[in-house]
Amino acid sequence: MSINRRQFLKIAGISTVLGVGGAPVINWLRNDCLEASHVLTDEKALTGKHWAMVIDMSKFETEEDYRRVIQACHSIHNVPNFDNPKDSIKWIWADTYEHTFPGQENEYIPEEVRHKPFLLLCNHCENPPCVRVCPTKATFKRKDGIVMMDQHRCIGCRFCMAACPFGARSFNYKDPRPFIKEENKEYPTRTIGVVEKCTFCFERLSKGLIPACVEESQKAAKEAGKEPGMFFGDLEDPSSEVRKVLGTRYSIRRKPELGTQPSVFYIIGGGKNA
Amino acid sequence: MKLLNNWRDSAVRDGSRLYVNTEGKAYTISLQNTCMHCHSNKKKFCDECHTYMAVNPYCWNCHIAPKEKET
Repeated sequence: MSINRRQFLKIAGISTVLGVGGAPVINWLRNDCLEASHVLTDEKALTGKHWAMVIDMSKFETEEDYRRVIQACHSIHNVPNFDNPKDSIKWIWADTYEHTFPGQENEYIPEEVRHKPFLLLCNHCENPPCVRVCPTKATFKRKDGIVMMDQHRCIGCRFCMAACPFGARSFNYKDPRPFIKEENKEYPTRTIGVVEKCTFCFERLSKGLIPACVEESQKAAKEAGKEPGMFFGDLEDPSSEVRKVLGTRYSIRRKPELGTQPSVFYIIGGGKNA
Repeated sequence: MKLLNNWRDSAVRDGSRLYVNTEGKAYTISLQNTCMHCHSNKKKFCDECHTYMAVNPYCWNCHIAPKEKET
């Protein structure tokens, strides 16, 4: 079929009009109707550039103060309770001054400090040796400063345990399941042959909640009408709670000479002049 | 499995826990708290294919499987 000049111009004209009108239509489809699936961070999530914690040891007086905080963490994270201390799994625990700040002890420090248990957890170092040695990148550093573990990739080589100068990592020598009193169905357990540690409650941060230990300590303080003993916030944010506390009270960190730059700060307290 | 792998990576590695599908519906990324709430029958949803393929994924060594209602 041949086509004359008039018919050709008609077809060309219609095609042009459709073509011009077509672009917005395609764009509209792309933006509103044909959007691909994607992944987002929850709007409620707490975001920071360098999460840190301050522990004011002068606010921890009775055994109950320690127990409540430790219990809050261990119950929601399904941390097992082994009788043999060699098998024990620690996310947050207590130890003596001598073991917490080795090299800082002397004969003349106050008795109450010398015998006080100090609350310990993963320091979420700025320069974490555990991350450097992990051969599978199961341990890695998040953008917000959390030293995180991907249990799926942990092969249980325990290099990280050897590298961590703070003893913050525990190995599952046995299946932990039978030793968990009450499982929290919203959080996984671990399995035999993996290393675990505190994660600064990354799963709670993503829901807009502060870490469980800090929340519990602040709750306990409120009930007793006292000042809280633990603070959590963003070190890079000058108006954050941790920066306010660190800016007004003298604090120390564990083993600063190693240069790992811990993100957990301790206020020792002990009287008016401290 | 592909979806689970992608979800795991974005939740654990990137900390992004909200999945928005093509219809714009949002889901929290979590095996225990999202997937298994609807696909609550592990025997049908997981084991049937795994048994057929003779594979033994170790998801449930750590993740807590939902209680079976009926088989």
